[in-house]
Amino acid sequence: MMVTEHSAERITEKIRGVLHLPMQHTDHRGLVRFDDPYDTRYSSLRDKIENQASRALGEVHKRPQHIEGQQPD
Amino acid sequence: MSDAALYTVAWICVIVTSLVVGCQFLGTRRSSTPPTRPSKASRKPQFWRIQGIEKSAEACAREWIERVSPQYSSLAENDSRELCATVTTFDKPEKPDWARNVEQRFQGITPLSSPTEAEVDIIAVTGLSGHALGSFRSSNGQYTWLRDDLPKRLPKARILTYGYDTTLHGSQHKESIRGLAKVFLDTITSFRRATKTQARPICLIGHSLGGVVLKEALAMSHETSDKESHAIILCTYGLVLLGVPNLGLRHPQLAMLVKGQPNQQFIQDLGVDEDESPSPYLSELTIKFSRVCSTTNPPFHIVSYFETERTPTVKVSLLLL
Repeated sequence: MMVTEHSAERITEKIRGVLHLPMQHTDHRGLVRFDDPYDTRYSSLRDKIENQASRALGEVHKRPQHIEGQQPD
Repeated sequence: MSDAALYTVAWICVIVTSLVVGCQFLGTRRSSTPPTRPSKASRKPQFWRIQGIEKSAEACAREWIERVSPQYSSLAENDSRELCATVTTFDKPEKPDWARNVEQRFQGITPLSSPTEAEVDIIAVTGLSGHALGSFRSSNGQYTWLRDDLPKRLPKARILTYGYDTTLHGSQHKESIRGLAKVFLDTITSFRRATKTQARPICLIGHSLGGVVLKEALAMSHETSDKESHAIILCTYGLVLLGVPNLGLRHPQLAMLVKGQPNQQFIQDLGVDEDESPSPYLSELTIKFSRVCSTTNPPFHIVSYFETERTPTVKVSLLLL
């Protein structure tokens, strides 16, 4: 759950020639906008990406069908 | 002289004086306030991609970036021969001699970091009418976490962002989500072949439509008989979905915006039916993607974020319609 006070920023502006197209009653652009690395919403997201990357490295050899003849670099 | 005549003369004097003073005022203003550039505070930062940098020109590129935008920039490997840079500036930078082009569209893959010790690929895919880098910016427009922070936190990850054109109003393209997913799958397969990293684990980040494109691309990769394309699903270990309309967009104005255009079906596929249920395309994708998830071993990890705050949304301008 990520909520931001910047969700509705620039709502009336055109982006790349097109008006922004949010869901009804919800503008979710704010979900991927963070002002600095100390934003707690961002650190939550970053931790999850980091966790997924670590899991990927830990589990990479558990997929025996990995690409024939190639090992992860 | 009669009172009426005096009254008329007085009014003429007032009008003439007003005209003279007005002209002098305008003249003074014109001469004393030459046109000035808007201040940085009122201008918006722009994102630039510098492509075709020969590896032999890396030192020149680093020196140039240090001068143009030391804080908000990147330089990463595009393939075995070339580098790609990004900078965020208020003015368009001049094209350096050692680069092929400077552009803003960011179509296809843009590498944001490529450490030599990289062991995993993080690939971000933007949403509807989004920008491969600009969509991840801060509210002041310069700092971009995907480029300016994530590489520092994940020194063993190559960070890539993927851009594609989903201009809606006035579009003459007959787009489809399947088409976007196929192009993404081919592009990422080709990029990993060019950088000899076909077996590297992948974590994906999808924002809005980008998440739908990723789900379709993973389903395609799962079903394909092409070994290189199939490698994408085998290498995928994580998926972060941010505001992905899995159950359909509920925005009737979106349909109005593309009415009669070749991309009308594309928006219908992303929306909901009259009974508020997801479109047939999205329903089918949900089933396909569930099958992919249940047959991938070990299963890839999925994190899903969604907006909970009710926020004002834009109204489509009548001028556009």
